[in-house]
Amino acid sequence: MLKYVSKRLVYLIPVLIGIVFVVFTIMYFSPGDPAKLILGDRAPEEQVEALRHELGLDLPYHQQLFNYIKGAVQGDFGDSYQLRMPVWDIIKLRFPLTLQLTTFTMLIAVLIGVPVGILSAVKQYSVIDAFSVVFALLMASIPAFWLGMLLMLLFSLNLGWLPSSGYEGLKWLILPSVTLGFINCATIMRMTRSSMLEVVRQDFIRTARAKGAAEKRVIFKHALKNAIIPVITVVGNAFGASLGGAVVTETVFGLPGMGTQIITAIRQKDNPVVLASVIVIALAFSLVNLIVDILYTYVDPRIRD
Amino acid sequence: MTNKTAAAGGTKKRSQAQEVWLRLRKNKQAMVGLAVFCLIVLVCFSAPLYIDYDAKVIQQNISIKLQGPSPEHLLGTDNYGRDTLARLIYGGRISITIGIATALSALAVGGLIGAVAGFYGGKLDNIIMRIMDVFLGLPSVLLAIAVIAALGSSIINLMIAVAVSYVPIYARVIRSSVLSIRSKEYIESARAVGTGDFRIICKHIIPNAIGPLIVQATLGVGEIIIAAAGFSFLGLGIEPPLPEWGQMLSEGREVIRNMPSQVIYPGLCIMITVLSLNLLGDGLRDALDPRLK
Repeated sequence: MLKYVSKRLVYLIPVLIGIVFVVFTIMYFSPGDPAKLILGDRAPEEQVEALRHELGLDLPYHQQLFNYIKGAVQGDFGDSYQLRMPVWDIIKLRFPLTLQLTTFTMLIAVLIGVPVGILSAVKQYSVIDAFSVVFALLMASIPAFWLGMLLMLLFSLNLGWLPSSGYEGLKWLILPSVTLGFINCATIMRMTRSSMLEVVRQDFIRTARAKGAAEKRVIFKHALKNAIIPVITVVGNAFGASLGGAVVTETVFGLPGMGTQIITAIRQKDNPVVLASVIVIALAFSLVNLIVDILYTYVDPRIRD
Repeated sequence: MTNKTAAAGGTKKRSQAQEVWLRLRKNKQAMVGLAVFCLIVLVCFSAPLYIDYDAKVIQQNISIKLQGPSPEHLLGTDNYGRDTLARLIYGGRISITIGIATALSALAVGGLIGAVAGFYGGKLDNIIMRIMDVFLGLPSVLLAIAVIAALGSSIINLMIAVAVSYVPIYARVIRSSVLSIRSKEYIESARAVGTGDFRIICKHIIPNAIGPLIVQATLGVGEIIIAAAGFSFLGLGIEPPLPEWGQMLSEGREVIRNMPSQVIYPGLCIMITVLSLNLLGDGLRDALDPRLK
């Protein structure tokens, strides 16, 4: 097991370097001179030149890339052009909130998606099945930010039960988490249902029933164990999607997380912040994918080989 | 179901496309989806025939801002006194065009990459798919955001950004379907009689892989409409005063307290359009692969 995990961790390194390379290159070729951005348009040319030299912006592309990766490995992502502080300090401040939001999102999505999906498969064509199919279809057809605004309209502006924007405590995370949770729960519900439906029809389930196993045991012990792999895949993907979805949802609810930070940084052309934020989220996403792969081997030991 | 498929397989005179159409026609939800989508396209794209673009969609008239429904303005007016219904209809033209054009270009590029990787296999496949892994290592929203950050925000850049984030996803889907076709016996026999690669790809691989492609495209248009609306909402896509559903939601958000309808209508338009595409896409999938039912 340890060997498998370390092998996967090693495999992660080229992917991460690749991501840094791709994002760095995209940002490198974006128009606009960072030195001019910091000093303003009217700064004398010598001063701009000096700053370019100080920031290492006069070096050739490959040298800049190498320096960036060297710094990033040591946790040094440079300084923000706008806030004039280390990017890492900004991320330390913003990332926990986004992580919290995504965690709550996934909890809601999994705790609703998986049980309803199972129930919907076990009682195919029942009321709950019809409900889950319609719910999943609707959630797949609306933008998260619109659902967020509708929930805000109902629960904050009309009923006044929950705060509509900003962040002062966990209460401020309820609406954003429910918004993203509902959207992400659709695919999980759909996949659990179809995967269970496929498994329930197979011979070994009939055998289990024939030998007199209790229905509960048949469903949870035999069927679910065999149906869960595609569900784990979808949950992993949903985690990535909600990390991305957080960008828009945070904007709707004015949460000071990574998402709002990336958007502000893009508007201000604060490249170091954009770059580092994207890399940190990609790292989180890669780690989730790694955990998903490890989970596979727990559920189905054949995969390890 | 199996009986029906067997029976259908017995009548050899119909082409595969006709078979699929016959199955699709029996699927009520898919037909509703198709009808609704066609209707939306018709209404939106014939708009220049019955709506004066400059007077109703673009020109601001603050004196009649945020009005409720009236005979002149069936869905009221927005924060700048423009007719909401007219903007929704013209907005649909942009949203749907972005959805279709982006999905098609992402499919073309992703399809080509995936087909080459799947068809030639070996080292080339390995290199291509490792590169795709890097792109898949980023949540697609973030990849698109990075591209927009670099290119600047405009409709075309928005489409490029979203297309870039979908290319690796499509490449993977198409690679796996090409891989499974490549090992089929009829490809082997085509090779045996000396057919060239290009002809095999055009004559055998593409027609057989096109099914999943069409399903992906249909569902993709809906997803991209939602994604593009998200970017416009964030201010990274369509610039005002152009009407687009995501952009309208962003403007509506500013008046959500006094005029919630400004937020509700554009969202409903997105929902109905994407829902119709999802119903159609699901139906197509079932029609193309009857075993999945």
